[in-house]
Amino acid sequence: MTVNHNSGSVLSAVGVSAGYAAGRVLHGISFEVRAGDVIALIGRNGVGKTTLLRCIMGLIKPDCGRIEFLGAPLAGPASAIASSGIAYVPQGRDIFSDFTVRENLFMGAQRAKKGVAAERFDSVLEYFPALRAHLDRRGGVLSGGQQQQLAIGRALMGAPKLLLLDEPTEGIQPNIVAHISDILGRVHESLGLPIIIVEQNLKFAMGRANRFLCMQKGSIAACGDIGELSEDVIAKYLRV
Amino acid sequence: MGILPIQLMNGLFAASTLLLCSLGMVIIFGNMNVVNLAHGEFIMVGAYTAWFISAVARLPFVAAVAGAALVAGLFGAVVERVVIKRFYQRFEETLLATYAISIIMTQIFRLGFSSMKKIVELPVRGGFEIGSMTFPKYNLVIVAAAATAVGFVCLLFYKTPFGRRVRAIRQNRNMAMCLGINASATDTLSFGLGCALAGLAGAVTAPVKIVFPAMGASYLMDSFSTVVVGGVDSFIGTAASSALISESTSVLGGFMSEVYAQIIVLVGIILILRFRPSGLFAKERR
Repeated sequence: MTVNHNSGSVLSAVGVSAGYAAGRVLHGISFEVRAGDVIALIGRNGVGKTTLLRCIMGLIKPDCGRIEFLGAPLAGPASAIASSGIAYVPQGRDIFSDFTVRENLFMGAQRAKKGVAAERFDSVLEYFPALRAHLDRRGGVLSGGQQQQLAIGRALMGAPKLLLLDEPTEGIQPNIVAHISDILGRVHESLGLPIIIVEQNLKFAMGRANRFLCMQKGSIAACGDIGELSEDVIAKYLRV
Repeated sequence: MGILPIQLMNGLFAASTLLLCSLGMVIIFGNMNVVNLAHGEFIMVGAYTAWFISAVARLPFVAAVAGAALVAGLFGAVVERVVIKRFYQRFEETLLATYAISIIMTQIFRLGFSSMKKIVELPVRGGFEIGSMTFPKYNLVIVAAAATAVGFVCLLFYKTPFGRRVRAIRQNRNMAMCLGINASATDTLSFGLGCALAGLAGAVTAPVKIVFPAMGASYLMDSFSTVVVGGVDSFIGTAASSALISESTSVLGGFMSEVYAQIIVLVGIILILRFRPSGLFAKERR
């Protein structure tokens, strides 16, 4: 796969291979995220979608290949990568359960000055008004849907330039899934924020994304505009 | 004055000493999950620094306490950078490494200052009376120092961005890093802070203890059991367990031999941990 380094490139990966002590998971992954993209990263369980996000985030070091973000090589620990403008909402959400909702949100604005963080806090609550009633409750006692909203809100508190979402609909009731989908649509439209969504829920992914990357056995097996996500591709790479 | 009030007062003084000596361990063991077998040696470094500043350099005792916290804290930060950071999440290696550090520190001080005991003069002399009993005024300094230190660390950990960063790393290190928190720098600061508190404890208690190179060993187990009973990462819990352990030992010691009193308290600790394995003030987690 060729990577087009045009001026609209937000993130590009070329030949990225990575894995864990038990073995390599990603094999020569190349792709590009352009300004305005919402990319659905799809594939069956265990093909390496989460590993790819963790690799972008610096939680796993690539064995080879290179990732560039806004024209600069992406390197260093996760904290440096977060500071460069990539926000990550992991599978399972990873809310700080001992912190209040308010504290959780402000944890997302590590580099922001107090006034700026307060402004972002207000705008995040406009996206997620349901959190307003729970600001002083501990994050650990919220429902799954509330935690997911909190996790996305916390990611937005850092004013990211790229958002990585890992299975945002996992274990969440359908009406909240629709709500989260609407909010992501609004966030994308108002901020122009590029997003990579790892998702098993195809309806959700296809409703939000303009492009798709389909993974199989640690490689990109198919990619293209979301309109090109044919029944054949779905049958070949997604159906169990 | 009856024996009970006297023993309660003595228990308060002992609890304050125990609390001062344990606070650093709440940070290093409770929040960073590092079993630091050299904890007592950082107290020893504080005591020696206080001796040097007050007895050799002849500076005021306040300078000795500040200097002790600074020296122990900086030394702790260096130890974290050079040794401890390589062993996070590796329990056995951490035990061995910190045990080695404790021996090395003891021997270095033995070589540098001999095994001769050092005396740190009481900065506050005289006594105060309650009823017919007279207690040393300096005991009040230790109580005030312990209360101030607990207040300081509670404010630091629960009301400042640094404290929230430490607590975030404790709850979920990867996620904290993914939000831009520099976990490595925070670790160094936390470990240094824990050692600074140990150094402060060494300095404040130096005038009522004997300062010598192997003094650290006696602090280690007392601090460890206090922190575990308190709930490992809880400052208030450690304050409560310091009071519970010291007051029980002191009050029981008024009615029986101190040896029996200590045995009863240790059995009590075992029973507490049998029924509340995470300590008295452990947080309920969902």
